[in-house]
Amino acid sequence: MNYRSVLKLGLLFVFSLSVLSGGFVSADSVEKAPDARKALRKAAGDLMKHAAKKGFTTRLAVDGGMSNKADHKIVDQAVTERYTGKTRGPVMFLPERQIFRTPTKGAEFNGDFWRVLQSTAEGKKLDRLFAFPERVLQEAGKTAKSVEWLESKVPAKVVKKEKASGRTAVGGSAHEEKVYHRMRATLPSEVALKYFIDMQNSGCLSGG
Amino acid sequence: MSEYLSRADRTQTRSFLDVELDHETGLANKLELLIMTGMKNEQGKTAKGDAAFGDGTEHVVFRYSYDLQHQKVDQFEIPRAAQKMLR
Repeated sequence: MNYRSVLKLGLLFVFSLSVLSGGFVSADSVEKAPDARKALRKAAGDLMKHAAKKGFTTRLAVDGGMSNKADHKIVDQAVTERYTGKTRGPVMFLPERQIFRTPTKGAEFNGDFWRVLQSTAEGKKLDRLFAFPERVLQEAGKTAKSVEWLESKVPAKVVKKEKASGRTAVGGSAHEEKVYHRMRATLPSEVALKYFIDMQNSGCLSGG
Repeated sequence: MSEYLSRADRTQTRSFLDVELDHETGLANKLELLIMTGMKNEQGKTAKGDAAFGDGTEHVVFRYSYDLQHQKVDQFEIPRAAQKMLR
């Protein structure tokens, strides 16, 4: 085998390897996923700021029961609760039930007078089940055992590189950038237990 | 449900929070909090690890699905009596 054949074989080997490993990729187009935990903490902070500046509306569906599936689909439903709340700053307002609440306290209008939210069974249930979403995010950001990105539901963004202005420029190029916007936080078993106890103490299971 | 709860094994719990951010604004759009607890079988034993939450194994599930909408919310006018209760 002469020098040329060896060179050809070598080039062929390098080419095959790069095709198998996903094609030729220039060094500056290699993507690095952002830190998912940092992104989760930022999401909590951003939602807090947004609550203070503009506010937001939350629809919460709580479903509970027994599953025997790997995807955890409930096959025997025992809990179905639905709530809607508007948040502005630290206060949430539930218009349908005339309830104002903060993460620790609440007031409900019963048609005649205002009373402490947690003084009724229904109020206690709401208080236990309807956690403020910004708090849920904040707690997850602090306590999560791990945080990972999930596959995006939106197509990758095509980012165009600008052409160089010099005479020797060979032209602009475009590359795709993944959109990182879905994540999963695995919470410690103590947090899971806390939510489980909250559910038990809400009283919504006692009828079952 | 009380029958399931009596069989719930609190030493086998798991929880995941799935978060979806708006890809334009970065604000959270959806949260799904999944809480799971293993259940003891008729012999009073609970499967360990992943097996406690797999196909064919009964487990207790609570799912909290938050849907967030970011249209502006006007400042609340909270009646004085209610304000006192929030302090």
